[in-house]
Amino acid sequence: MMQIHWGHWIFWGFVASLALVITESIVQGLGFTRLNLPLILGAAFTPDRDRARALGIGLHVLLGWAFSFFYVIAMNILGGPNWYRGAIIGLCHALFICVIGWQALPGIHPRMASETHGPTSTRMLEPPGFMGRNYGVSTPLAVFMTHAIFGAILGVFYH
Amino acid sequence: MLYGSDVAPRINDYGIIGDCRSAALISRHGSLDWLCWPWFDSPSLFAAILDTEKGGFWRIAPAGAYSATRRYLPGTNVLETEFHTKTGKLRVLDCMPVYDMAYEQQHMLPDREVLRIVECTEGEVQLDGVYAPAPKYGKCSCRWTHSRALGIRVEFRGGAVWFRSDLDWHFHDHHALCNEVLRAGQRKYCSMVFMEHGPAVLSPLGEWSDASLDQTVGWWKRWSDRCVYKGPFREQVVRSALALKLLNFAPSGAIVAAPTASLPERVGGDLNWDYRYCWLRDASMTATAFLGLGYQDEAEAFIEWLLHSTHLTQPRLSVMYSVYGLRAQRERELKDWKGYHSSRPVRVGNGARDQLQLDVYGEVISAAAQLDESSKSMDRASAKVLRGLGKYVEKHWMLPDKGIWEPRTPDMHHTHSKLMCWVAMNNLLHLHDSGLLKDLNYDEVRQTRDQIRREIETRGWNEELQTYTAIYDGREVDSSLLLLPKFEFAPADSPRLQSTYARIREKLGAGPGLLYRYRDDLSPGEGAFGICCFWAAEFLALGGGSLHEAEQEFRRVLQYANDLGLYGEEIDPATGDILGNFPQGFTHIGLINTALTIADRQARESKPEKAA
Repeated sequence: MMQIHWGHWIFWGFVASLALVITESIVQGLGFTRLNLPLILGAAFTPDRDRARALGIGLHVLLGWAFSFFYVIAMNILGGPNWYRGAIIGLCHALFICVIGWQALPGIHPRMASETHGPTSTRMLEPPGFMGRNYGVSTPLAVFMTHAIFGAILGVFYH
Repeated sequence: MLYGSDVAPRINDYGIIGDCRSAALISRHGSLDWLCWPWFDSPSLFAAILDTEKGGFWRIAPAGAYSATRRYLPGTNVLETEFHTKTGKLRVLDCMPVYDMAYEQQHMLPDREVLRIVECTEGEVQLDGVYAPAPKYGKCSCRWTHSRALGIRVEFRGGAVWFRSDLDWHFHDHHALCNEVLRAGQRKYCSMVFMEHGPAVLSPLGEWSDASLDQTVGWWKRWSDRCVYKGPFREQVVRSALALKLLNFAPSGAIVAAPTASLPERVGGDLNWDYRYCWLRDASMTATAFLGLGYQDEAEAFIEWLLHSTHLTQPRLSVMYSVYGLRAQRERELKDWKGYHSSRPVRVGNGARDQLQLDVYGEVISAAAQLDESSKSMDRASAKVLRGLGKYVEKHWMLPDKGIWEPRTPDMHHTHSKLMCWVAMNNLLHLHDSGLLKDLNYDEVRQTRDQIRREIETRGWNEELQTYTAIYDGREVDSSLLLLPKFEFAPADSPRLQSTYARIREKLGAGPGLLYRYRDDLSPGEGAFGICCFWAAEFLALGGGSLHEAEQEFRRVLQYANDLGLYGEEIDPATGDILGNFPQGFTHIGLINTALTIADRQARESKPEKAA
């Protein structure tokens, strides 16, 4: 029977999630991508971009924390946690985001413009496009890299 | 050639729009020829004014022959250009939207936007539209994509611009063209937005753009209505204040000298510098201008920036800083660029950043003193900074420096620099006397002040020629000597200053209302210097002449503005054309301060009459 070490998951899930948000910010700040997940997440709740960013950072950390639980379960199923299993799960997660998530986002995000109909007075945020490439050609690479790091951190430290 | 000409229009033919973070120049021919995003000193996105082939531009104008008139919507920085053609009239409204805080919190808005609204007001007009951005001085590779619903995206390392319009633009390789025919009553919209870090916010056009325009007009009107100046030449003063506000970088309070780089001080020459930085030299006069017009917030923000953004180098001050208080970029040349009317080299970044200019200490201390005296308070941190700067001046005032005009020659003892060191010491003593600045080594500061005065009166004065001189023991004059009475070193009607003024007029006069800043082997072909012309009028208003003489002189200088009321750094005495970077904050500050001094003189002279 699968056993979850709750204390470990809570702590290392949080650390991995923080690392994910920080790595994404660095990659974005260095100009590799314009993907700004905190802004996208926060903008679902407020049009004020400053507030959206602040709110989005919190949401992103919480989401990452929640997702780390599924990483933990997946690693246990695959034979136990280690860095490469974590990284592989991260890459699979990134693939899902890039191929499915970005395509679906304009349909569910209340402030994101549609690729088909363009922006309206309430939906003005640039959609990510296929693989998120509207935010820069290196965006898929950035997503894969940051999620691999997220998974690897969990794999190394969660026992 | 896409631009239609080898050279850009004259500098006079440009107007400016901006959002207090960046600014764009748009010509009388409807061509946006200069824009750096996201900040004033970022690499250019459009720079056809410096190179019509490589620089990039965005034109919206009628096809064929036309005449154009333009103005700013009253009390705003929204530019309106009206084109008259044989078949109809076209109105183009250009702005970079600005919003009040409440609107910003309720709406998702782009980081940066240029909004151009095109309206056919009579008959029909065929458009000649070209959209051809060239990011990063045209030197970076960029990826163009076109989506019918979202618009044209130009993506490059460090950001992306989206262009949207309800006009019919045809997408070509690295540019887009529009030849649509507009009929009377048709109103169309073009929006270009930029995002550096994050997904762009795309403008939906139509009603949304009209609302943005209304917000922008309202914002600027509210701002210009705050001007408390009621004296003569109010229209020109308010326009200058609006121009100055466009050079104000709102997030930090800094003010750039001009939004452009490499517009020449001598057409076809090499006096081409990058002015997209904040010169501390302008500090005291900028504070006077803002405080005099009632813009206390802008003055406070600017002086806070002065005192705190310069922390990294204090007590030594650099000549210039970026809008965030960083060192100006290293100077480099865009070697393959043609330059404005073949004025090469095209330089970006500024090599004067490492010069020693002692006048900046007096400027900064004087600016801070004005604010503190106006608010009757000084916080501890500011007091510490001022004492530190004072000590630096005490130790270094006797050194030679580059002086106010930043020549790329060996250091010399400039009289103006010594004057500003005297101003620094004098202001510290005043602040101490008024109880605002405590713990000042009063006796040492006073001794230094008096020593500087003695030296200026001996080595900065030429007994044979009966004039103050530009450098110690010299024979030449320099227009900065006109500032001696402004900083209360000596009264303008004193014999020494009267004879100095006469000498400056004789040696530096360049025509009606015009003065060169100096004359030497370095300056042939250089124009008359805008702010020096205003200093002459202010000298007269300060008591160097009669009020009537001051007003007449002021009127003479006013005629050298372009049709929008904007000034560059210099004026070509032969043609009256504007030279140098444009629009120039220093010149507009000179206009405002001279008007304030004239108004003050008027008020003083009318008091005895009223009393009688």
